Amino acid sequence: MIEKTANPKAGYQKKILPYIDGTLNPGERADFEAYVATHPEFEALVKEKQQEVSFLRDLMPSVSLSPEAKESLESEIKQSIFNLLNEEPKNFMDKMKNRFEEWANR
Amino acid sequence: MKRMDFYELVQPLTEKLYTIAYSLVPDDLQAEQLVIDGINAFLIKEKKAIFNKHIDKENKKEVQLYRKTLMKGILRYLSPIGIRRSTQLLDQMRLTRPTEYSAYFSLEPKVRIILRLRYDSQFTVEEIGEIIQVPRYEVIEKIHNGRFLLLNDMKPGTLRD
Repeated sequence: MIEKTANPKAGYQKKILPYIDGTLNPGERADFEAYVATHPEFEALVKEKQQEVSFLRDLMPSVSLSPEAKESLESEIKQSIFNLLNEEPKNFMDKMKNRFEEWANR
Repeated sequence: MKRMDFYELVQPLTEKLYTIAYSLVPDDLQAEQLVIDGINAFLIKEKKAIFNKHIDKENKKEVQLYRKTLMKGILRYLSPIGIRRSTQLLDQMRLTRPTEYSAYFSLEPKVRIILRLRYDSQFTVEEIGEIIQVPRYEVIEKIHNGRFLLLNDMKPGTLRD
């Protein structure tokens, strides 16, 4: 019979990136930090990973839209949504409702 | 779901989608167009599912969860269009390729988007596999290759699809 032994380090290793990203829930985060505090060699690994991720992020372009470009893009997205998410009107009332919704959100 | 409700869910994703699109096509207008095309493709294909979806706007957790699902859904359409477009624009990009981030832009488009999704957008390997529609092992391989090339600042011309 093969006895399975869980390796706690492997479990924590998988959580390094979510920890760095800040996507661990508060309970998991506290548990992770407690493990790090008691394992100096693991703490060094986390720090190394943090530096690597930060370096990788710096190598990727960080772009942002100008306020005008953002407004224009959002307006185009809105237009697309209103054009493409258009349910076929079943009757005159539906048609009027669609027209009113489009007019109100212009 | 009403159209305005749907727009309110998509609107906060605009900037993030643009950044990801820019990773594929490093040109302001091309990246904006890619965002629109990705959303349009998503709307056309998923129209029925959007109409049938009901969200409790007061439930922040539900809204957050659905917004993440939406992001993944839109990226599922945006990514292949962007990867294809990026390859088509390769010749043009050789002339106008940004001098900044040259190491990153020398990577193949699929590797670029995978690295962006993993290290900037915090998607898991499994989620990236769903978005790009490649098996898990391929995502891991691309992450390792891309990371290696970037960290060692090597010429990545050898790594192509």
